[in-house]
Formats: sequence, structure tokens, C-alpha cells
Amino acid sequence: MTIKKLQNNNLKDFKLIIASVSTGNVGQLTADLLINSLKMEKYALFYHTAIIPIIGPSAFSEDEKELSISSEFFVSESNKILILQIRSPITAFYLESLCEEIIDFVKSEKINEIIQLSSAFSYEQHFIQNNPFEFVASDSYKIDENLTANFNKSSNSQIPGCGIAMKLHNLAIINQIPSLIVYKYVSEGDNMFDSMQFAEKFNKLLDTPIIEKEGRADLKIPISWKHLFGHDVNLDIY
Amino acid sequence: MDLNFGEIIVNPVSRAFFDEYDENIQFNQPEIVWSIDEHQWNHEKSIDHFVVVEGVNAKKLLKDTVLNGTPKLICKVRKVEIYEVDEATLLCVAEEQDLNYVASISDLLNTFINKANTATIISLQRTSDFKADRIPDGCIIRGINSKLDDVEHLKPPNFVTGVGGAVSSKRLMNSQAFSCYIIYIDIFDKITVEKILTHLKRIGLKYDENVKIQAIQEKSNLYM
Repeated sequence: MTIKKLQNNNLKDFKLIIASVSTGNVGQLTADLLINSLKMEKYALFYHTAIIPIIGPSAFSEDEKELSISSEFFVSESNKILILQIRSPITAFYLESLCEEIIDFVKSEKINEIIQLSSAFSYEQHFIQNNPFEFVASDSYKIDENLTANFNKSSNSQIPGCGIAMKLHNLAIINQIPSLIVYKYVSEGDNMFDSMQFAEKFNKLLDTPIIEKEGRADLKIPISWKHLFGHDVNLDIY
Repeated sequence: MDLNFGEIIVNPVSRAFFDEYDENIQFNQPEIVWSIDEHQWNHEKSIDHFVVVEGVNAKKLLKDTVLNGTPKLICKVRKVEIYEVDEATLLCVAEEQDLNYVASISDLLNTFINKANTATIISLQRTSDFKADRIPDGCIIRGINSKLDDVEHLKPPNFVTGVGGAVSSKRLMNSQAFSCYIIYIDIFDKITVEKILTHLKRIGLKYDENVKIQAIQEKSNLYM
């Protein structure tokens, strides 16, 4: 694991928010919305053998000198949050080592708690009229009214399709780090709308939330979402 | 999801794929096979330019030109081979398609990645993977940290992965110089092959220009 710090923030008592690579990439899309809407600054580049390497132009700015890699940390001082954005799938063989090294980082930086943004297969939600937003919290995690007002407490011991979330959650419990997984039941496809709903809900848990416009969080869609599902059809073919 | 023409989709595949793995995952750790003295490369030799050419037909493309004659094989890891093209230049030809292996392969190539004064990555990709408002005809070249003025900058949501993505990421993490070029191709016809080779020449790879350039025949899945 290598972390290249770009800033020197003191992360003591911060919350680490992790975009879990899960069904429909909802966690990652939600993290994108939070980073862009809260104008979060890039804190560090993160490279680990478990995460399939990618490189490309910045996901949030048109500055040609700025580049994005497979995982990066973003910081918001006003919210005391650090987001770990993971942009590519994880190699299962190195999963254990990735989770352990994230826990080591949390301990070394004296980060207070871990919150994971994840998703689950919609066909696993057996009572379809229930709220599709749920949470799983460790005993040491302080559950507040804001959380229970927006997310239902899950009664499941597993979250099918949640990616690394449950593994990391269990490891956090062993290491006595308060841990929370918030997730939505979704289907694979165009999950932009799911992530906007998710960001809207999660915004209510923040100390300094995204400013609201006409009763809704004013979410800023990043430029990297353009052509996410390919380019437009050439009209000349009709 | 990468499907060939006529291939049947057996069941839907989720991006949360590791849920399907059990606890004892089969993963063959890649190993580096040295063709010459390993010590020499780890300690003595210096590298000026490390070039990565990656894509399905990378080796076929270079066989009669850059890899014709003198270049000697230094080492091999799965479908990635490293050649010494001249005193100053190393060429990495990467045809690895299983992305689960690329990070561990690139870890084995750290000696070359870290030692080189500069690195250039050429990634050959399908035009269908290029996302933009307008798709130009023919072979499209885009760059990251390009040193060539006429090459347009790659725009999101396009990106580079594979060994090239790993090499670029590592160089960025180490604040070392690198340029990355993505060449989007439909077919490897003579014009396209010529354009790619011209690009290779511009980034500093030398080859005998009298060689007759040929189109690369691709496997077809059409019922003909």
C-alpha cells in the first residue's frame, strides 16, 4: 500500500467514508456527488495491489494537469470527513490485505469511525414496500435520530452484493473502531438516480450539509458522469 | 463486460463480483521469468526510457518493426514481455487481458518502472470504448501528460487501465515523468498500422523503415 499525501490535515476525530465497490456502483457514484457538491479537496493518492489500477483525467475538473487514479482520498474540514473513493473493482485475492491496511491507516491517523456507502441486490429485499435504505452498525457506533429517520435498521447478518463492506465492517469491530454501513437495495443498470437519492439521504447525516435548493440538496454532477453509458447515437443512421 | 459476437450471456454478472468467490480463491501469483542476469538489471544497468505498448495485437504489431532483429528479451511475466531495444530504451509489450493480474504484474516490474528516467505508455483500445460528443473517423489518439502538441488531451470519462494504467499510476505516485497515449482503433488495416508506427517513432522507438507494413488479420466471429 502507498499513500501519497497532497495535504497535511490533522485527521484526528474525522470520519472515514468509504465508497464500497458494490451492486450498480451506487457507493462510488454517491461519493462522487458528495465530493463534487461539498467541493472537497484531494487529500491523498492511494495505491494498493488489490485495486485494479486505472489512470485518467480528473473526474471533477477540466484542468488537464490534474489526473485521477483508481483510489483517492478527499477531505472536508467543515464536516470532519475523509472520503476514500475507489474507482475500480478489487482483486479478491488481496481483499484481506486491503481491509487490514485501511484499518491500520484509520488507527495511525486516529480517525474516529468508518462509514461505508454500499448497495445490495434489489431481489434480496423481500418486503418490497419497505424503505430501500438500510444500515448496519457496530455496537460501539452511536446511532442518532438522523440516521434512523433516513435509514432502516437492517435485520440481516449479510448484505448480498455489498462488496467489501461487510468484511471491512467485521474487521473494524475486531479492532474496536465504530463502524456503520449505509446501503440501498438496487438493480444493476443506470444507477445515477439511485445515487442521487442516496446522496440526498446521506446529506442529512452531515454536520455541514450540501446547501438545499427548492427543498432538495443542490447536488453537483461531476463531469466524469458525461457519457457514462456510452456516447449518443448518431442521428444520421435514421 | 467483454463479450464476443455470438457469445451467450449465461447469467447476469454483477460488478460486485467478489461475492461469488468463496474463501479459498484460486489465484496464481504471477512470477517473473528472467532470460538474462537479474542482478544486472536490479543493480547495475540504468534505464533512460521505459516504453509500454499494450493491447490485443501489440506483439503482432511490433514483431516486424521494433522487435525485428536486435532486441533481446529480458524477462517475462504471464503475457507481459520486456525487451532491450537499445542501450537507453526498454520496451514492455503487454497483452495481459485478465485485469486481476495487472497490479501484481506491475509490482514485479518495479525495478524498471522506478529506475527509468522517463516512461511512455501506449494503450491500444477499441474505438467503441471511446466516449465523446463526436467520434472522429479512423484512428483516434488522445494523451495524458502528452509531450506532442498535436495530440489532444484525454477527457473524462475515458481512462487507461491494464499494465499501462499501473505503470502510469506508480510514476504519478512517485512524482516521476511519464506520458500516456491511448490509440483507439477499429481495425488494424495498413493505414492504421502505419499511423501507430509513426506515433511510436515520434515517441522515440526506432525501427527499420524499409520494412513492408502489413495489416493485421484479426479473428472474425462472423459466420462466413
